[in-house]
Amino acid sequence: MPSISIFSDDSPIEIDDDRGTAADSVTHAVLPSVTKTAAALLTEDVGKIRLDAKTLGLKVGQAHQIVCQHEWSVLTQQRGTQNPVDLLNQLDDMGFAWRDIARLIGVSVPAIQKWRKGERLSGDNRHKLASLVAAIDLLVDHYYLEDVASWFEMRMIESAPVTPMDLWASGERALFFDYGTRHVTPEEALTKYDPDWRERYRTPFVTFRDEEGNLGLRMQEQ
Amino acid sequence: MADGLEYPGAEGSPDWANQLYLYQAPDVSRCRPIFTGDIFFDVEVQGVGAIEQKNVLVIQHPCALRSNGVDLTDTLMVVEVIPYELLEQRQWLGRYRIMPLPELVGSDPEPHRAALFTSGYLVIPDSLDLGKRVACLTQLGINLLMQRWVFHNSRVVVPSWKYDEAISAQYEEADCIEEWCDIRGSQGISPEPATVEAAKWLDDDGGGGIARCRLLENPQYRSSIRKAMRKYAKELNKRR
Repeated sequence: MPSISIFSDDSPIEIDDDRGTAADSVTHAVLPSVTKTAAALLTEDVGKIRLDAKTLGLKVGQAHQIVCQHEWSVLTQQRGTQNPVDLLNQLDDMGFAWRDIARLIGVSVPAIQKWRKGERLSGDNRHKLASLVAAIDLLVDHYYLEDVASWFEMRMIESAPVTPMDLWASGERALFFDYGTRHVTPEEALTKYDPDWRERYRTPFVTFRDEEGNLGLRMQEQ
Repeated sequence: MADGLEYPGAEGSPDWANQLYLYQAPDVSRCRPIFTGDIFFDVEVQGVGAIEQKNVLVIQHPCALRSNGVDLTDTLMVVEVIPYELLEQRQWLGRYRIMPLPELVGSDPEPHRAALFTSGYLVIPDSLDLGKRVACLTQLGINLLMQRWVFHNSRVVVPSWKYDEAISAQYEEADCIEEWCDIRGSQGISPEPATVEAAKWLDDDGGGGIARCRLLENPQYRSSIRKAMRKYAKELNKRR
């Protein structure tokens, strides 16, 4: 009986060498079309499943974004009931720089300093502060970010100066959560944020450490 | 590849004040150490053969500001700050001889200024009275200042984000010293001795083999340095 291997890399259809009593000069029969049709059907079926899986993946991705946003909104409500000074102190305890907190909320550093001393926040700013802490809650709870302030400050890709903080500060919340929940790769996230990033951050300048140990800039050696 | 001078903010929405100024009068923190880009009004400067009063911006590079990590060098380079028109973002791509300072003096009917690279002076540290400091630049503001200053002097344009890599550790250090002085101020310690304490703590390696100020070069370590610094400074009174 001839054996058929559909998934062989070199020859999609392979027949074993059992010729029975036939002479060497006998030409093999052309393979029956019914077998080709089975292979074609299989390709078609698996291709359809692949497409369905892709569609399903997109839908699940959208559903995940929706539930993520919902949880963030619930957490924001909860955080919104807390004293803003306590929320600021929590960010302080995490190691955020005050100027970074100001940038993430979209206010000046003096505004943050005044809030810490007890000045009242507007409703809008109070919501922004609560939503930031809530987003951190979500990422820490589900994705075990141990040093979340450091994560906010670290470049997504070494060759481009874009950080999760930039995503948040620019208002790209869905992309921020997709990146934070590791559902997009750093390259995908950067490309969505700035399609021209590869060209924008291409430069012949590199940092180097001088004789006194300080960092400097110079042209890359060819 | 970005190959020209840059402007702050997204195209069409500059938000000058938040992009360029960390502090503006009257909210400038006295705890913040003097740094590149700081703007002082009514300062005594050494002109050509005479002492003059000028509004100035500190142009000296962050690495060259201090002789020992705490004390400013004997003389500092500054450039004059003058009233100037408000430039649109695209105009930042030219005007090589100035650093635009839009909306610098919010209280003034004509609030825009510029630092004039062709009008340089020397000052002694005592002339830079913190009470006369009207603004400190953001990290982005300093990057853009360095970019324009270097281009003015050498015709070489370096992307602003590369300056960030080279000087962000010094900026972080200034942040740490400011915060340390703020914490110690609440314990009754004045900024001068607090600055010395902070600089000493930052120069120390904490047993890890690498000085904390050197660790600030790496964004990965910054939050842990801040946490340790805040904890240490807050507990200093208890230790003594």
